[in-house]
Amino acid sequence: MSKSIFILFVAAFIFLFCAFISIQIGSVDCSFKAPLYLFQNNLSESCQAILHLRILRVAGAMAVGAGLSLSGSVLQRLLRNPLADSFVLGLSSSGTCFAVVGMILLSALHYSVQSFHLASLALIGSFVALLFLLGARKLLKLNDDAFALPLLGLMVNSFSGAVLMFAVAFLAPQQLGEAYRWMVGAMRLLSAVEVSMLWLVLIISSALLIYFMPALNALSFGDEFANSLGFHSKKIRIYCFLMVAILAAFMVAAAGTVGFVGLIVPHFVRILVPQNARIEGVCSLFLGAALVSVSDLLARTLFLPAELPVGVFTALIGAPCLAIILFQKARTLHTV
Amino acid sequence: MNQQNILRCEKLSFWMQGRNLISDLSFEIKKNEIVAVLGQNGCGKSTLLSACAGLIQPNSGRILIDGVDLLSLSKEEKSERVKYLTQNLPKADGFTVSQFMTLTYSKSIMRFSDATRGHSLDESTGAALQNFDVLHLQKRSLNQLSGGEWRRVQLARLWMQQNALFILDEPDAGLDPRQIEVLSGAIQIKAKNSGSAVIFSTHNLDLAKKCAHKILCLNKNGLLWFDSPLNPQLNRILSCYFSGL
Repeated sequence: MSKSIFILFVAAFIFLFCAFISIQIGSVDCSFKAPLYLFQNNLSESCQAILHLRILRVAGAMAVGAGLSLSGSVLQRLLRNPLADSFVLGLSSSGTCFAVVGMILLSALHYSVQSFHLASLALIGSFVALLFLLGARKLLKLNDDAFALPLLGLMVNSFSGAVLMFAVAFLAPQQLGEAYRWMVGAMRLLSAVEVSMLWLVLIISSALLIYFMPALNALSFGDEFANSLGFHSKKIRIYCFLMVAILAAFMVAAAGTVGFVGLIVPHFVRILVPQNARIEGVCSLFLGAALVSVSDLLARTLFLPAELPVGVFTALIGAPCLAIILFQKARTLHTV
Repeated sequence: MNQQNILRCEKLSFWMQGRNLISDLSFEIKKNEIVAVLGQNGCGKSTLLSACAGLIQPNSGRILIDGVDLLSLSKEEKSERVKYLTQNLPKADGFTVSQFMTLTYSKSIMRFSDATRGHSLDESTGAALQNFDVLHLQKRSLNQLSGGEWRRVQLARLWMQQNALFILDEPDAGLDPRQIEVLSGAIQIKAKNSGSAVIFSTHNLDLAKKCAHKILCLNKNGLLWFDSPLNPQLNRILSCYFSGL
């Protein structure tokens, strides 16, 4: 059995383990061996309800983590930039911006704002950011994505950040909490329908992305090289961008701006399995899901009864990890 | 149509940002021929070569590979018949030399990943690396290669291919004199393969004179010279080339 297959199994095990403990532990102790007894009748009704909610929450968090880290892994190859992810490119912040501004406008028009509306707005926002990026890329004839797209992403990020700050001034006091939740990235309570939609999008788009991932190996040497090998680099690029945008948009719609997941998980996997695009993709899915579910577990249990946003924990875990990875990379580069 | 022609350019013109780069350039390359492209910086050598590789399109005129219009070929067919060495290939993060060597296109995308998984090299890959004296680097990460070593690895990758038109954009860039010697020999051997031909751009006159059958000299106004380096007129042209005319 090769090393990469072994690591794949380990990642899958970590994924399952994290899912199990995240469902097991919560603010309310249901005092039985959850979740194995979930479908038995000897549970009190309240316990069943709590477990049901907890499973939905964990499933949502896991989908978000998996989607964000896979899109990071794809974007880093696509843009030949180790710091690319949907957060850096501004897809997340633009989605958040649309959701919050939309919330203000809708309530000004006396609509009752529901989470479904906000999620759709976040979807539109992420797509607008993507269209802007692709349009600018075409307009400026940018052949070297490595620096141009993250810079454009920086523009999108600071612009939507400014709009957000502007919008916050106009929010009604009761809406501030909701806006804050979007901005820092916190899992909200998703309905069963929403969670299953999240998983459906995740499964379809990641299956397609993973199928095409090996082509990204050639793209990491540039479009010209990939073309001279016979790949349709333009098609592959647009197609992957689209998939990543869909993934990122749904994840933003579910959890707001959760940073660093897309950045650190693929880097971490890359250290374990160097340059096997497909294994890297699948491992990123598993470990991203594990990371966000554990972060969410910490966020909702560590400071009871207060609940912190999951984005805080991914950043607290993520930023030092990224620093360590970068330092280590620099060291191996200099000791030739 | 003469079957011996592997590449035929008819009245190629290129404009870049309103400037006329190359106008009405026509030439042919026969099988087993080696052509060196000379010219000052910015006179359109790279543009011409990447157009011949089908990566960009000329503003007017057409390019025929084996008598077939380049435009009518699919990407796969193009990559089958034309092997192109670009001037600046970025080094992707984290690849080792042997992984880079095994990157190929195959119809089934599934197989692609299997090729990159293997760490052991097959014989032809090893021989190609040996050819350019980089076999000892096979386990190295690309980031740890010097400019010249990286160039030789790229050449070795290209050299695994047979029977094609080899288009090399400054293959000698960054190579030391001994390695240029090796390259010169390798180009001559490659061109002898049936169905192959080599066209390369360079600033190294000695290399061009030594291994090319024909020299294509471009200047800012277009084609200056396309003939054998043995023609005594060449020196007059080259003195123009050096004096910047």
